Amino acid sequence: MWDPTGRRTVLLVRARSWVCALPASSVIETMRPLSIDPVANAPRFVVGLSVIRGEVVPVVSLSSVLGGGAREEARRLVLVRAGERRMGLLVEDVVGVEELDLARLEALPPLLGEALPAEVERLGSLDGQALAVLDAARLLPQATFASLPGGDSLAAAASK
Amino acid sequence: MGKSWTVGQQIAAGFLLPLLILIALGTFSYRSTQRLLATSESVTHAHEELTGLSSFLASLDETETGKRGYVITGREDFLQPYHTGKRGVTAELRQLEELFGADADQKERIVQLRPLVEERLREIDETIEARRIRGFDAALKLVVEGNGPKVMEQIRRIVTDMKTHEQKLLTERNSEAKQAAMWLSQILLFGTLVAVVIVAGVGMLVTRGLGARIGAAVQHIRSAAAELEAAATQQVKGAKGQVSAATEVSTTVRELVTTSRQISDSAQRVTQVASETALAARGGNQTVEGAQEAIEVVRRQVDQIVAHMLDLGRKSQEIGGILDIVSELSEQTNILAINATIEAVAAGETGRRFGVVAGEIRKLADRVGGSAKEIRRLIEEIRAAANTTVMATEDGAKAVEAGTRRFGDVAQSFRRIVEYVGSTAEASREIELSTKQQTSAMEQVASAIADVAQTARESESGSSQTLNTASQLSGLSGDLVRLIRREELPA
Repeated sequence: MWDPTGRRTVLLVRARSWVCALPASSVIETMRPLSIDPVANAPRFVVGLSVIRGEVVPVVSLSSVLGGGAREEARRLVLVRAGERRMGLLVEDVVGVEELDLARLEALPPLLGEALPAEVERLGSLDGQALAVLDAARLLPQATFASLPGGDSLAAAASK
Repeated sequence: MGKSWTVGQQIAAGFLLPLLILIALGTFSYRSTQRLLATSESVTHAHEELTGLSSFLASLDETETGKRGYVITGREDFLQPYHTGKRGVTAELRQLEELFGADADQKERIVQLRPLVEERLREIDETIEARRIRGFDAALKLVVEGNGPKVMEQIRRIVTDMKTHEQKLLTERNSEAKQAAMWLSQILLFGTLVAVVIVAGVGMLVTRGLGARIGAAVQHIRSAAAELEAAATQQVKGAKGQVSAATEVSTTVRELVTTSRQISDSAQRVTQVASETALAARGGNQTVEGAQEAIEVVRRQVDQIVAHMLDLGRKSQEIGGILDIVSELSEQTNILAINATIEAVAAGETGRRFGVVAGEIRKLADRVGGSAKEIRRLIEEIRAAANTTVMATEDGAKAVEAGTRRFGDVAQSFRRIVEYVGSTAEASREIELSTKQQTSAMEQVASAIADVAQTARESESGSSQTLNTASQLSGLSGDLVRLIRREELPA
């Protein structure tokens, strides 16, 4: 599913000053944000839980993941697959669907690679703007997923 | 003599006391004189009694003498004394009875005497009868044998007793009369002396008291006269001052009359000016009312503008609502197009052409969204402009209202001016009238002041007269004081 050498179709979203690329294959649907129930003892970037099409899904703020403190205005919710699980990503806006040549994207400089969050797989530039290619599976670790209420059932369903 | 007695009372008392003494003296003298007269009368009475007794004896002796002569001679003419004596004895005896009517002793003696006298006369009659009828011898016999001498002796004794009694009474009455006369003379002497002394004392006291009191009164009169003099002098000065003041007041009043005539003329002019002002103010009021009507028209038009503008704002808002729907639709279309693209990507090669269509749809939706945004911006601008216009128009309306109010104030002011000018005209008319009345009153005052001046001049002359009179009174009182002092010194 992930071919590091070929051209890839990605969904470009905006969070903070970043333009992030999500692989189109991992994206299920884009929609407006639904009502979110907060969760106690959750990690900083987990906003809460939403019921999407009859399923309880954890919602993660992409700007919080990228180091943003205060929550930005999130106009879109992107439902993505993370392995066997599903999760919602709150983004500021959906830019569009693009086909990118990942070879043209430069690898991270060593210093920057350490400074950046671990969720960023690759950093490049698109039309003079910084572009971060994200791996959805890395965004929410397994342990965190399991600790979330309702996440257990998901995790259990995933492990079967 | 009390100090509180009046002069009249003092004088009356001074006269009353001697008068009382004189009355007492006179009464006493009158009574003493009466008693003296009575005593002397009783003395005369006693003398009459004595004389009566003597003549009684003499008459009795005469009868005896007549008897004896007839007995001796036998001649009738010798009986003459007997008849005379007999008549005298009877008369004397009756007279004696009357005289001694008041004396019990003497009366008793008379009673004793009467039978003896009758006895004696009867014997004499018998003797005379015997001589006439039987002759001398029979008569002689009767004389010799008769008890004539004894009876005669008894009669003489009784008469002597009576005489002695009378003599004694006479002596007593004489001494009484003497004593009464002595008393009378002594009382008259001493009473007169006492009266003289008392009258002298009273006179002295009254004179002294009156002198002192009149002196004090005269002193009072003197001081009063001095005060009156001073007051009259003051009055003369005052009257002179009054005359000059009245003259000044008269001059001032004449000036006042002139001034008030001028005031009257001025008030007349003010009345005229006020009438003209009232006319002008009424004209101004009408002008202002016309302006107010014009402003009212402007205000109505402004209200219409504001209403239209508000309507425009509401319509813009409605357009905004429609635009919201359009935006919503474009956004939904956008999301749907992205999802379709993602589905197309997932479908792989077969979905490629659908993906292109979906991308075109998305671009269309974006363009629709952009247009909607542009329209929204324009509508916002229109709304802002409409708001600004509404506010400006409302400001204008407020300014117009303020202008209307001001014009109302101006109209009110004009009306007030008309009222005030009316009252001013009324007041000036009243002033004119009052001033005219004042002028006539002033003229009356002027004449009254002239009268006052005349009166003051008369008062001045009267005061001079009073001053003269006061001086004379002062001199007179001085004379009176000197008179009183001179009277007092020898006393």
